[in-house]
Amino acid sequence: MKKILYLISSFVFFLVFSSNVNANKVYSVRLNYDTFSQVLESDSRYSTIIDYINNKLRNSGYYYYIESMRGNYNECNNSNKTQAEYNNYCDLEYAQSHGGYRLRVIIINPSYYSNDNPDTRTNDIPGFYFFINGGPLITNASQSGWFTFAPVGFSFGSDTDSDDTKLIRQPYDMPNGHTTHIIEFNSVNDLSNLDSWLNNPVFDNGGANFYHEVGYSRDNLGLLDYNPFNANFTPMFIYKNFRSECKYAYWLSTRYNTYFELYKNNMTYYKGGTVHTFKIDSDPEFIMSDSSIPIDEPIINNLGDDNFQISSSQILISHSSALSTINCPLNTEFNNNFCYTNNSNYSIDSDIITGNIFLTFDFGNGNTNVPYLSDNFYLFTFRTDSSIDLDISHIFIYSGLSSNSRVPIRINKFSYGAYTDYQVLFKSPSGSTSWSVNRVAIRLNSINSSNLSSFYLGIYNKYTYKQVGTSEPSLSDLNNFYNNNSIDTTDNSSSSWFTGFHINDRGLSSIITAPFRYFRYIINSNGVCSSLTLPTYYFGNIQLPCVQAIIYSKIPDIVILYRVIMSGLICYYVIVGYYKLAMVCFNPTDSRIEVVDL
Amino acid sequence: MIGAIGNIILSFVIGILNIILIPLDLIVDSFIPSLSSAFGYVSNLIDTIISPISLYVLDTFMIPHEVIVLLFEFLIVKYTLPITVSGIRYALIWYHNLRI
Repeated sequence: MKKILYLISSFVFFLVFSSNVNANKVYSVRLNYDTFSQVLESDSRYSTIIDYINNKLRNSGYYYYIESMRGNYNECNNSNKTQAEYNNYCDLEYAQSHGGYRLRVIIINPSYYSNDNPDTRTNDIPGFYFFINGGPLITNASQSGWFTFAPVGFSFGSDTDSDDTKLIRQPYDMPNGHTTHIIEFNSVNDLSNLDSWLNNPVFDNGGANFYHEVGYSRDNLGLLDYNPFNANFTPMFIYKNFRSECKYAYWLSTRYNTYFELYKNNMTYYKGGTVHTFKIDSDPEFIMSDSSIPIDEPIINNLGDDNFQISSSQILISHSSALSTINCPLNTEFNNNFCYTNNSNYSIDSDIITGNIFLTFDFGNGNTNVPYLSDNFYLFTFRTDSSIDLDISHIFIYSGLSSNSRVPIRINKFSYGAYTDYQVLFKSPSGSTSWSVNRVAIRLNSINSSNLSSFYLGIYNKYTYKQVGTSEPSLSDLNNFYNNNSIDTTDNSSSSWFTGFHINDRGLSSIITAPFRYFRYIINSNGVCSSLTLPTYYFGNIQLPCVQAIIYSKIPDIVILYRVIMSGLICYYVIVGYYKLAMVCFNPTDSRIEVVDL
Repeated sequence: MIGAIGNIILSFVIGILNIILIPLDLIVDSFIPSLSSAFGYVSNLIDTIISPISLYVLDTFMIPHEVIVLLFEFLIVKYTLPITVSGIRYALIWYHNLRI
């Protein structure tokens, strides 16, 4: 009897399953391992402190920044601590459980900058320097004024060699003796300390405490290199404190306009560090989110939706390797290898000799009447390869452009030579209806087309993004780009992946019912295996195809045989099990269930 | 049919557990909010695991999905049917006693 059952079940499942190997899908995988920052942001007590500090200092003329730490900073830095003590003092949750919040503001004496005005520098190119994977982006010399520049996300190398310090190239090393003052906030009650200090501001001498090491670990890169094109992108900084072994010192920033001055540090005791100092603009617009904080919800909303409506001045410019087939975007005209529009001014150029690509964003050439000079901020994203979009993204923001608003950027070919695609994303979220500036000129004819398969330049707004792709977008694509006002319509699988990622208020019950939910998920799923995509920094997206598909492609006969045997065995077990179950239920002599009494 | 029954049973059990644990969750949420958040994060992690990742893992066993479903449903029935029958039995006993 059992043999017959086995043979029948094996035969049935052979017919049903022998030829069914599921096709692969691509999913992005990202685990939310940064719960710490969520704790911070979700805790209104932190927001209270941060907002208080910003309100007090943002128009004070001081340079300052806010940082949060795990645990008590001073105690955490005490090298005499045991590991257990260290863990305690460096742990935010520990601090929280003891009524502490562990935020501090570092105020920098502005007199320092009076002696180090970037405007007056002569032996360096005024500008800012980013690097991606060791290669800096360097501006040319036409930038003047303060660097009205606020980076929100970088891609750093995972190592700590000298490349990692090249966030900003700067000839003046930060002196060790400049003055700062640090106020630590362990509770809301400490806010009065800030008031007291402001009434009698005295800076401490010789402190170098605000130096930070850009010691990004590889794990952190996954957060940094988050896809900026969907609603959940999380511009952020994660800093290690250079002194301590604290795992993280989270940069909450100020959420306001920020002047960034970043210095390459060459201090001997300072390993692989980059020094950052900040000056806060009086016109707050810039926001910076910590990691894992969906920027569209807790942060952006603080500024009001009006600040994030897409303006009418959107442009979309694409470039394919075949220059002869240039299609100018909507509302632009093609003339002499230029695409023109009446909105803003861009230019893309390349150095024939070096192959470097220049992007120039011209915002009016000193026309101070243009409102966006102080009202808008812009987000540019460089994407060097569409296949590794999560890893080589480069995001930064201009904010509060100065009167001389010509902002050229040079992309070093040497740094990007291995990649084929570039994308630039232009963000104008302020929604200013009065934003109307000079015409845009996108020079396409001098780009070394052999190194570019596509070029994409578009305006990003909070709710609209449509990735056109690496090929020349069609007119319908462009229309979709303009008309798509719902982030939900994005076809980026990674965005849908994160859509439902939320904190469950009923965590305990959710944990306990997890096995049942797992059973239910398996039962209700279609059983289609999906390839796992693991974003990595150096190797792009590593795709882990389904094992069964791989093996089936190699040894299909053996796979079929294996499945038949396994299916038969399981089926046999199930059928026999049901039979026994029925016997148990209806056997009146069975002592386990006395169903006869029914 | 069996799949539908399995779904019903699982939903019932999950619902019951949720109802039972709501007071505890509320207590934790009210008095130990950080712990509640921690539960939430763990839950998120579980939700992440109960996802296409789990299908990926199951796929490595190269067993047809239908067979796995059949096995799971059998296990559900096996471990819930006797309890269900007993429950009905006791309910009937109580009913008869109350009538008397």
